[in-house]
Amino acid sequence: MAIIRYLGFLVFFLSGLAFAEPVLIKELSQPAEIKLAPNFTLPDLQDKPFSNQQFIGKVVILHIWATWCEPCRQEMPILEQLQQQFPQLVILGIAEDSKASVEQFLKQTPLSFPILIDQYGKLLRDYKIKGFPTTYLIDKKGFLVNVAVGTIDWHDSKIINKINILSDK
Amino acid sequence: MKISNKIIVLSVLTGLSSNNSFALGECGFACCLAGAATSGVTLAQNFGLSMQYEKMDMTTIRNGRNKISPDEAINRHWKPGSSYSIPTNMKMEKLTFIGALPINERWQMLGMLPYIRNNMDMRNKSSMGMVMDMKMDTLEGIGDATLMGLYTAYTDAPIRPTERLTLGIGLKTPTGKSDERNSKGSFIHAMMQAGSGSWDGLFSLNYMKAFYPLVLQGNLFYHLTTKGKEGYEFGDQLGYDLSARYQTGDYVNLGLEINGIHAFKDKDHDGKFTRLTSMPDTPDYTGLDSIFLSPTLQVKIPNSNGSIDFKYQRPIYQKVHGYQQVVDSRWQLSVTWGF
Repeated sequence: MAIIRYLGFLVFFLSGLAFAEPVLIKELSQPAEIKLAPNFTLPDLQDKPFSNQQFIGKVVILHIWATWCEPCRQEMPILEQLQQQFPQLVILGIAEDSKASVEQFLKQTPLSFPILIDQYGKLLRDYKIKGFPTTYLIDKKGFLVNVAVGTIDWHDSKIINKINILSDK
Repeated sequence: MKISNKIIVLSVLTGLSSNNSFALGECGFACCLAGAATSGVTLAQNFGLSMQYEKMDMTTIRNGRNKISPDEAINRHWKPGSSYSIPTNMKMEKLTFIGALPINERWQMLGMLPYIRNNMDMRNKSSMGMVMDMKMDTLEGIGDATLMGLYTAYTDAPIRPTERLTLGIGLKTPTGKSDERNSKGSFIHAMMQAGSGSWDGLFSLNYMKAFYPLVLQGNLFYHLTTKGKEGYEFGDQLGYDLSARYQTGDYVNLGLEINGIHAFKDKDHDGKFTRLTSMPDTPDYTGLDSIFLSPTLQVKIPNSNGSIDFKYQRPIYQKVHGYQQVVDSRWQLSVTWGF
């Protein structure tokens, strides 16, 4: 039937779009207003609490992601490379997931930076997160100075320069 | 940018997908409206797709609130010299393809296209008093497609909100056939047709309140019907639903819904479908009130934006105008994927 063929084509076409490679962000935006990062305290996988307050004085990459988000999963190993390249950088992965889901993911993709669990989305609400992944760059004074929604090209020189500039301040 | 709306959409979708004419009588658009809070179809970054299978069994005949047997239903209507027919069993199946597309932070568009298959067994008492059971031909085909816009009037957060108010407005189109005839050339029962032949308006209001891991919702839905091209107008419907869904495990949500519907009487403006010697073809025997209790189960597919949903419905209250065959049970299975 023509309608079935049409539907089949539509599903095929849309699936093609869905599995297309994500476009990498090469430049971080500034938020509409530079504000202090809202305070949060979230547990890691060992239930140890982490707060943004304990990282004042350091540059922080706050990366909000989820194990069910395919572009997020692809980006995590790149973030691990970034952490290895810049050990003084604080990277916090905020997972909108259960502990079990993250543990399962880490078996295949080990990460050295902390993964904090925000299973019911408290941080997502406080930060008004609109999509996955979302990445904030937080300066040494705790201000949200840059934001990106989508997968970032962490090898891009502009991004690395930005991190270096914040680290040197 | 991902625009995610963890909202009521599947409830609207499951209700809207019920373009089956008979289903308009008891379940229609409003049935199963609740319980879509965690539907993956609206979590999509770019779009969401869902495929839903639904099966409805109808055996019980009611007069008002009372259950009566098929033979009693026939005998109350049959007169010597005239025949009378009643449905003894109806099975209605539907496979619906659903797409959801975020337009911006507040608007989302939904499209639904059902494929319907209906089976009906009937019992006839002839003018001479002979009783015979008959199996009608299976009627199947594309149903009425629906487009709906959902507007987030208020939310406290784009993702994982604790509160959200959503308004919906839509249009049911007459893509399904509504003029199928039997071998004698008469129109097949309006309720059995794949489509209604009419352009109808759809309106919804949904409120969600979350106390994670518990999500509560209330829904109101109004289906404003118009006259179909063959002159048959199904009665308007008002649906109301309450649902509670609880995340019991990492991948499992359990839920419970109460789904209510008030259906107004149909009108056969041109008299093409009315046959007073047949219970399902008597417009006076349309319109009802029903309330269903519906346990639900959702299983999320690990490391993906996919989920499988299951819902089972049983009526806990039914009151009909005249004599009608009513829904005894209904179940739905859907697979949803967000991209």
